[in-house]
Amino acid sequence: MHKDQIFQTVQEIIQDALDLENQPLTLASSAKDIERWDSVANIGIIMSIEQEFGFKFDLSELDTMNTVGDIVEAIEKHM
Amino acid sequence: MNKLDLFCQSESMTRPGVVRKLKKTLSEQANLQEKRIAVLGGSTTNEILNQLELYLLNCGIRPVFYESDYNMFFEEIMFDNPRLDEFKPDLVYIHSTTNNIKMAPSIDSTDEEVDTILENTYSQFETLWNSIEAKYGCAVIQNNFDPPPYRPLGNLDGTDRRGLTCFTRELNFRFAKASRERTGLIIHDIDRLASEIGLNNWHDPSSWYAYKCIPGLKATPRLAKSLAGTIRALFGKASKCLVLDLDNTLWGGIIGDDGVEGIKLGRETAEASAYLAFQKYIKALKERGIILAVCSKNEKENAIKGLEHPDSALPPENFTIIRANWSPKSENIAAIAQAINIDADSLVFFDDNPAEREIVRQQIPETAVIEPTTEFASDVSAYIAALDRSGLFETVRISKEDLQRNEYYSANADRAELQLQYTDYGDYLDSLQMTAEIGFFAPQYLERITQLTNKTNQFNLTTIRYTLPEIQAATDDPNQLDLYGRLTDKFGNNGLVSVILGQQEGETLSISLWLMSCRVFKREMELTMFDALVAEAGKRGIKKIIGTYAPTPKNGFVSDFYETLGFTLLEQRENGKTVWEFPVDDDYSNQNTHIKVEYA
Repeated sequence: MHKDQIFQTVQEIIQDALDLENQPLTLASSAKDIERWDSVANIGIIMSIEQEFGFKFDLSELDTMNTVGDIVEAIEKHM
Repeated sequence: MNKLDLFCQSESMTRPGVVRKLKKTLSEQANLQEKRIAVLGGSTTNEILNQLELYLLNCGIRPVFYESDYNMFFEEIMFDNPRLDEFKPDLVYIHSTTNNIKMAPSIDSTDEEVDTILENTYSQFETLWNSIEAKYGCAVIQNNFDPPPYRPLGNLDGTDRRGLTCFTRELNFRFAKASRERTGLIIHDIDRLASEIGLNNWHDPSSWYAYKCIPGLKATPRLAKSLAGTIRALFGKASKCLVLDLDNTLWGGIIGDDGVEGIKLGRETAEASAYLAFQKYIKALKERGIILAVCSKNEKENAIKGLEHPDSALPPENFTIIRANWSPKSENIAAIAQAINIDADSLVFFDDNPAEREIVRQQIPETAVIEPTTEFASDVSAYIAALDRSGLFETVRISKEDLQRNEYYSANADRAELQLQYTDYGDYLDSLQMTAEIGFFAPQYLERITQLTNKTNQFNLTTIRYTLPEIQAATDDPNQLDLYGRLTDKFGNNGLVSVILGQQEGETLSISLWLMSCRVFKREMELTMFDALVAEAGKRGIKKIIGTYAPTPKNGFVSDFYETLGFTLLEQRENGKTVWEFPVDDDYSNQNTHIKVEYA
């Protein structure tokens, strides 16, 4: 799967989880910039991504993922 | 979205967007009952609340939540907590798990030391329950203990008292015993739930390390579903009647084509034994008080023949009503609800045919329709699990009433037959040879009274719901006038069927609650209750009785009830509420003429 495609899917999942309608995200977007992206919402996002892509993040990845770009990169490693 | 659909499916909801949208739709339903639920967690509970709200909305309850801080379940109860005091919970749920056991036996503990540790752990929880009872007077749902994720002692962990597995099992026995002894304590069996989901799903290490969640996030919907089933039962909203198809549901094959010899039921083949096992499970439901009905596209004669199969565990007399004909099932189900006089939302429909399920879903959205599949099977071998895991027949206690319920409804059918023989309704009532027992609330009836306040919708003047401790408090208050009525007739005992609760202020009695079970409609039991109320009011020096009718979509039946009793209208409020007055004087003559009355 292409990085672009992964980004698109991740974007959709985050938009859906946070009810952001069509507010576009970038690789630099992070929980810090988006008010609704709190720790509770983050659990739902991570869970949905794991379900969608069919793998589980390593704990070390969970500790270091800060931006959408970090998430996309981590997913790439698991593909 | 049909009501209770979530309970009828085996897969669970996890996607946040999906959950959010479903909740939005479900919260737009009319007649949601608000309940204030305090969730006190020993681990992170956000996702539990999120899922629980969904499942509760799905069964007609709009939860208002109080959530404790992370792992503060003990402190928030034991120490001053104005936030929780102000919240005034209807229910406290303690989501603790084996992980919250602060002191466990160690490998050098002696047998006596294990006893002490066990006692200490147990009494910590007992203190919590006592404190909740004293402060909030509400029911408690308490998790028992899940199997630990790992076993340093291997298999011995479950048998050696120093093993944590063995320790949690001993605690679980203590919790079960406590629940039998305390009316307000309900155990949520996460030990069983964890095994059902599979320990590897229940204990998800990354959910724990990253988010401090137990169970794992993927298992949370199952926890919420199980919990919602118990909460629904606690508030008297559990389903009451199971409506079953016959062909390929209670036996394999088509009775009309294959004949009694041809259908698959018994022990001869794998399929036949699976159908028999399903019948036996249903029989067990019936024995604990679930009403059974048949709704099948068949000639009635064939339906009976099938049920009389030599290996049948469910001969025809197990069913309160058998509708076997060629009319649409939705019509038959409506007729079943009417015949046994319960709401369509108390029915659960089980049919192997997806087309029939769809029609019932569309035509009678209140009725729960089971999807007879699981993640493991989509044939008859999935039936029991699909029904069992729906949680629709969850119960918090088996009352005497439950065990007798089938008799009541069968007797109702007999009464209906008798009525046909009389042209004069009064003669019919006399022929029933009814005797009423009327008395003040007594301890053995408090549970039944609470149950009635929560599930009676039609003959209910104010539709105020009470909890057990509230009913208890009312009986202890000398300014409350409380009456119950039981009714017996030649066909049997109808049990406790009517309740009146009123508040006395000087010479005025205001009726806060008056309800009667639909079992005994049109029997003059309401007049008998009123006669008793007037008599008791007279004794207490009451000069006038004030009655209020608060309309709901279901209680139109009693909108002019006070008028028929002889009350005069005092006030008509904008919300449709009416207030009525009745003068108590010596001229009152009893209105009931068909029921013999005995005072308890």
